[in-house]
Amino acid sequence: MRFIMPLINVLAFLLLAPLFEGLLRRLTARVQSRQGPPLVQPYYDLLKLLGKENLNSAGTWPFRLAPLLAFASILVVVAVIPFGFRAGALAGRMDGILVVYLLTLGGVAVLMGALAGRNTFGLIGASREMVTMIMIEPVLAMTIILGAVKLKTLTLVAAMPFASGAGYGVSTVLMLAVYLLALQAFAGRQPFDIAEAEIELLEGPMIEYSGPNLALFKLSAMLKRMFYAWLFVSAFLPFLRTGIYPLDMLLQLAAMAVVFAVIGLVGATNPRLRIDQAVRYYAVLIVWALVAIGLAVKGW
Amino acid sequence: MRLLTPLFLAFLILAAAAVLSAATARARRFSGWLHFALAVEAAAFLVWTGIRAAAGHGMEEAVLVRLGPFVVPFLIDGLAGLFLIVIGVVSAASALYSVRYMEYYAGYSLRGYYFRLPLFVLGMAALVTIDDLSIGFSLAWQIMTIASFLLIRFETRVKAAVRAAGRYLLLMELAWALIVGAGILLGGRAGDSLHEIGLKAAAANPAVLAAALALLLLGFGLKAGVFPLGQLWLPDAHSAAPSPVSALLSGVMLKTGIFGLIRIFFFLAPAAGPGFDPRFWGGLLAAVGTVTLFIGTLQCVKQSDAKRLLAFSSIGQIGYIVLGLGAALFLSASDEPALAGLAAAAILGALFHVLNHAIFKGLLFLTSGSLLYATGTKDLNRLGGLVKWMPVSAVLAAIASLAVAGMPPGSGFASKWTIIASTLLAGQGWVLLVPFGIVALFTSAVTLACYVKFFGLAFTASGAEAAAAKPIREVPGSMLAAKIGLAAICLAQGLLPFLFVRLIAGALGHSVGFAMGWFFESGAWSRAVGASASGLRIESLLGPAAGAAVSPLLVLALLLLALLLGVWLRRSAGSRERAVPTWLCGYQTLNESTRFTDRGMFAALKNLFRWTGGRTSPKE
Amino acid sequence: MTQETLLQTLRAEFGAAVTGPDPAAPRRLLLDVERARLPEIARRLIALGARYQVGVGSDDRARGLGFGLIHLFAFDKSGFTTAIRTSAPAETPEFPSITPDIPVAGWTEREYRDLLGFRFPGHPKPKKLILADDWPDGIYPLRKEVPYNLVPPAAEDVAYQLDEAPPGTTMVPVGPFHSSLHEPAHFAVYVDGETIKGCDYRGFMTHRGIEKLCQTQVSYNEIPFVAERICGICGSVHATAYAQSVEEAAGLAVPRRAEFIRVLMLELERIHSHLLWLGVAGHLIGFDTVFMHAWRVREPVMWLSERITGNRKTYGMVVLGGVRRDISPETAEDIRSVLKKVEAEVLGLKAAILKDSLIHKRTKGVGHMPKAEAERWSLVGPVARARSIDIDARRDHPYAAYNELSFDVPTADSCDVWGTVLVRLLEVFESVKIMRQVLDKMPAGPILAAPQEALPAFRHGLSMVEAPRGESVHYVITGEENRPERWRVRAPTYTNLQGVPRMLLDNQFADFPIIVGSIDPCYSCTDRAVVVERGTGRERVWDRAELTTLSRAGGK
Repeated sequence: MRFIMPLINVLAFLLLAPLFEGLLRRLTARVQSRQGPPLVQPYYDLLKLLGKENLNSAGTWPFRLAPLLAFASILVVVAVIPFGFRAGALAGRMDGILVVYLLTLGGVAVLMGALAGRNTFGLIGASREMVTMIMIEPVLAMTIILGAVKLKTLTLVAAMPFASGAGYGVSTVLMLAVYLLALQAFAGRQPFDIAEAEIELLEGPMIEYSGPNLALFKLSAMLKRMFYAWLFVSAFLPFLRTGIYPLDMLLQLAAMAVVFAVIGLVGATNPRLRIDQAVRYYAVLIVWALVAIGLAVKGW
Repeated sequence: MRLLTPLFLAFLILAAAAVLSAATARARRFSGWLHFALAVEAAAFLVWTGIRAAAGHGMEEAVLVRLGPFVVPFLIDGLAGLFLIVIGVVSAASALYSVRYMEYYAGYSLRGYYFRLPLFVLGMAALVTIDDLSIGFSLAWQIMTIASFLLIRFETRVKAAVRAAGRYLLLMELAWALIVGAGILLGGRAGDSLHEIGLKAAAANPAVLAAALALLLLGFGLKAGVFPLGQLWLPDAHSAAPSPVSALLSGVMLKTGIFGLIRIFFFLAPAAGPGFDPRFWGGLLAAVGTVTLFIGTLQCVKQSDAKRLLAFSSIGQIGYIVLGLGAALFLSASDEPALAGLAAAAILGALFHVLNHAIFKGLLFLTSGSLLYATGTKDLNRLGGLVKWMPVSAVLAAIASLAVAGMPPGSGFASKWTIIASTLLAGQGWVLLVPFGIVALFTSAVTLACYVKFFGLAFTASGAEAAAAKPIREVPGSMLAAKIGLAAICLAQGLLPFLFVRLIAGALGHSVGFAMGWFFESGAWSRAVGASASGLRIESLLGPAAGAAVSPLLVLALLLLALLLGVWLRRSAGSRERAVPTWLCGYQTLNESTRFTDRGMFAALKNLFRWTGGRTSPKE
Repeated sequence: MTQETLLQTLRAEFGAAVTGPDPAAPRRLLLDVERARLPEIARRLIALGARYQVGVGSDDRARGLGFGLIHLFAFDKSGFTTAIRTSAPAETPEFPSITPDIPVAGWTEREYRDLLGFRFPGHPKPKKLILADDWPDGIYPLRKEVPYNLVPPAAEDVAYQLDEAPPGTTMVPVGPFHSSLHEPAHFAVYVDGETIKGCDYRGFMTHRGIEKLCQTQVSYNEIPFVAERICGICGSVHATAYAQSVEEAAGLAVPRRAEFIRVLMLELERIHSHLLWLGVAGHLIGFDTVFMHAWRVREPVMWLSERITGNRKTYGMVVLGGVRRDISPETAEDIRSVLKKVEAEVLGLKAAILKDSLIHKRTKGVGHMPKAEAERWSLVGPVARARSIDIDARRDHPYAAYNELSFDVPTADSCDVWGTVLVRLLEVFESVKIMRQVLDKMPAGPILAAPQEALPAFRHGLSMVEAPRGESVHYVITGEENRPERWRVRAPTYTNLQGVPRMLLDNQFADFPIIVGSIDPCYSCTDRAVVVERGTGRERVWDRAELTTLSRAGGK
């Protein structure tokens, strides 16, 4: 069973990520008093993109490799996480730092594609994407480190600290608040969809991509968003655990849908911030997350 | 004892290389090859000596060697062995690279260059094998310093280079004075080995000991380039020197400072007994390391000159090493086995990072040399798109960039992972170690930013053709060969970290007078740190599961599998590729004026961290 | 200041260099000035508190008068305008440039450089403005001998020389196809990192040659419908302004009821335009929910327009001498009920926007341009009023029925984008107020004046109409063949756009869309002048049913 779990993770995430995306779009539409697209629209979008031409303005291997690397890195993350509160065979060989780095690698792939695409707008977008990544990665890392401090282990059980027996303390509540405040940035939604900023940067790093390459990037972004929703559920909602593996998975998915609803609601009711405003916001989040870690080390 | 012979042979060959290749310097390429032939031979002796020493065949105690009027203690133990290996490997690559690279400096005679380069290597090799703080140390230090000073001011017609070299010389002499002064303060006499000085220090007043240690920290810190001392000379000197020399300066010479710090704080000081508080000095080192890595890397992100960027990044990477050393020193004082285990992990990580940094930073400086050689500029604002003309260099640069940025499964990942994981897990040893680890983690994302722009703006993006004076071509085979050699080692370090971790652990087990020696000698370390083909583990000995674990090979395999799935998806609907021009809203095309340059990269981050400083051009 | 005192001042200072005034221009002071002293006189007028509006160049060679150039200056506080006319011989169409003193005259002069072949010694930026990059030299389309449908051969590799980049900057080429621009135009934005250090504008990409067309092909009575098509949003403004200027030139009396109906349509247009802008502004700062809701609130206004005029937009109401449709009592009731609903909804929007701290963050201090600068650049409309420049043509130069209506002119002193948001929001309520007054006060009577045989030729008429984006200026010189000899349209964007590079300076690139958006740019208004379209061959006409099917397919 432990050896099938990574496969279950990958399948569940690959199959459901577009559905969550559809949910997000639908909810946004409702807030905006629109009908919105059908729930399955993201599947159609991906299929359509897969059938289209791959335009290549760079003609170099980094440009072609980038979407693959973005997709691969997030997929590896998905494969190793303890989805449904069960650590699969890979979870013991991987740890939180690796997950943080792999997510960063995915971001790097986006940047590499943007730089290889040579487009001015893409480069500005890449610059913003990198800055966002630098400023938001610590919050992600500290969420996992919080579990690590409590459990004295950095392996991926640290991503489900309470399911592994740690207590729910002041530090957890504080980190939960910080995570929620960073959620839009993790998800790349308003007010923090700054790197894509379609209105001035025309999707920024993605500008030169089309067809299947774009589909891979889009799918990676959906998977990433789903991962962040899962991490929230896994790290902060321990009471969803019944001990029955399939039921736990379903419960987690249901909770993730709620997280997506929050993302959608917040996204639809906020304008986009500028990157200079956003970094100051992130800096404050980092400080609070550090406070949470400090409290956790002190055993709170 | 036996190891002295190959070491002295290496010294002799290096001296011969200096004389012979300088004598033939008129035949530029011939003298280059001659130098390489001798340098690689010397390197082979150095590496062989190093491996033997690291594998436990080193000296058990310092051996006195009479050099003319002086008696100098030599000590080739495990630790010295590790550094000899580094010196050997990087100097060989640098010698090979020099042969064709020095064509770039057509207007300069190579006589001085080929005379000083082997002496520089000799000085460094002597410095890590001589075990005193007086005569021998001074000899080695001066050879190393003066040779490198002259190498830095190789381009005598460039004012900035001459000034940078001058300042370098001044500060290195200051460092020498500080170190030798500290030795005298501790009561050391000519010919005393470090261990003997340590024993004398035990009798000294604790205040004197503290003062001496502070002087030593300053002296070796100056050499290693820790904040704020490194900023005084390192970026200017490293970017002024010819690239193969920069590779040696950054890859190897900085490590002699680290070597000094280890010898002082893990060998000399503990011998001084209770007067030495490892918690205080470890905490100080860890704090200094954290500040260094943070500031150095944030200064790095502001640089547009490829070599300055690499130089500032060296400061940052030294910070990781010092953090690891500090954490190890601090935790080594603990009686708790879990924390002692983490101490072992931290020092393994630090030394592993020494090895990794030497290789990837050497490779990166050689890459910056290739940029200069092929295009005539190292300004990232003017470079771009080189992957088209220099595909091999691009791949090698990508490997090095991923490694330094700590991306799995690159080599920097394994060592940084070890350092960061051991600090994060050591919270109950010292609370501050956790935020130090978090800062290190944050900073590695900034490092990533530095290298995204280094690689991205030099090799992808666009524009180098406009900056280059002549058509851009891939660099010659011998230059590539030097880089490929380093890249191969770099890959091995990333994918098979256990080989290197075991090498280091073995070496530490055979280091004479090492404070944590018993831990490595007895094999107790392997209960704390698991190193096998399946990856690295840090056992926590506390919690329910392993403290931390990572398996680069597995990561690589998983990534490749996922990549294949991606390839399949991309092809699944029979989509084709079509070449199109870059799209810029329909009125303008991609050209010099619409090209986004390095100046604008990460503007928001640069603004947020403006207070960290970092000059973007050498002091005039 | 009255017209008399101004005249005395000018005569005292410039003596014989100033002659006139032309008595046929009652609402303004039409003076002839000596060509060489033009800059001095213009400078003096500005010093006396005038606001530069626009220049009108004309080809009067057929009448033996060479080339003419009229500069218009408004004295808003005193409620009159001054036109200074000068002419140059046919062989040397050269006028001293007034741009060094009055930067906003830059485009006027460049326009006539392109279209009439004038030369302006001393102009700081004598570059193409209107004509396409590949338009051949020596063909000046507004000259009488050039046929309206001339299509010169296209040329490859002719590039417009953009301004030199400030040192250390990269150019971000925004447009013509860019999601923050809803019509084609090109901004070369020079950024250092993400900070804007300069901007060059290359627009006029969709010129339709409306002025030339109307001066050569259509007649007085048809022009209102062409004028209305100058702009897709404030068409009624242009139709009214045109009609008023001809009516003024010809001395045509308009029935009072018609004037009230014109006001009604103008204010209805303002409400829909401001709501449209509010939505677009939301979109430009990445806040699509504001976009969707503003447009939802706007929709009943569009339906109301359709019920009143038969069209959601481009009402076709205005003709010379009046309007085409009357407002029945039932329609009046309809209007009242829609106004009530819209007013309530906009109150809700306003409350939400005033409370949203992130909207404040994205608009306050953004696009800052102090009042003095704004005056120097002659900004108009909400863009000026957001910088506490209290001007509004409806109040300062009343036309139609505005002199009988009471309303406030909201201003703000924040000098930034936020001010324009605030001013526009408040103006919606003023418009509602005005429309209610119109319905109350509208007298009974005819809506169209009796037709007149022939309009007198070579009379000048000026009309200023406060469009949603600011004052629109129409200048007509009547002609002989039942059409204007010269018709000059100056949309508010023509002025405000020239101040945009100054507004952008030192802002972040992310704010580019909203800063450009804050002037509510209307490129089609600005691009009205002469350029000949290249034939695109056949066009397909979609009928309503097809369009409905298309737009609703999949969405039920």
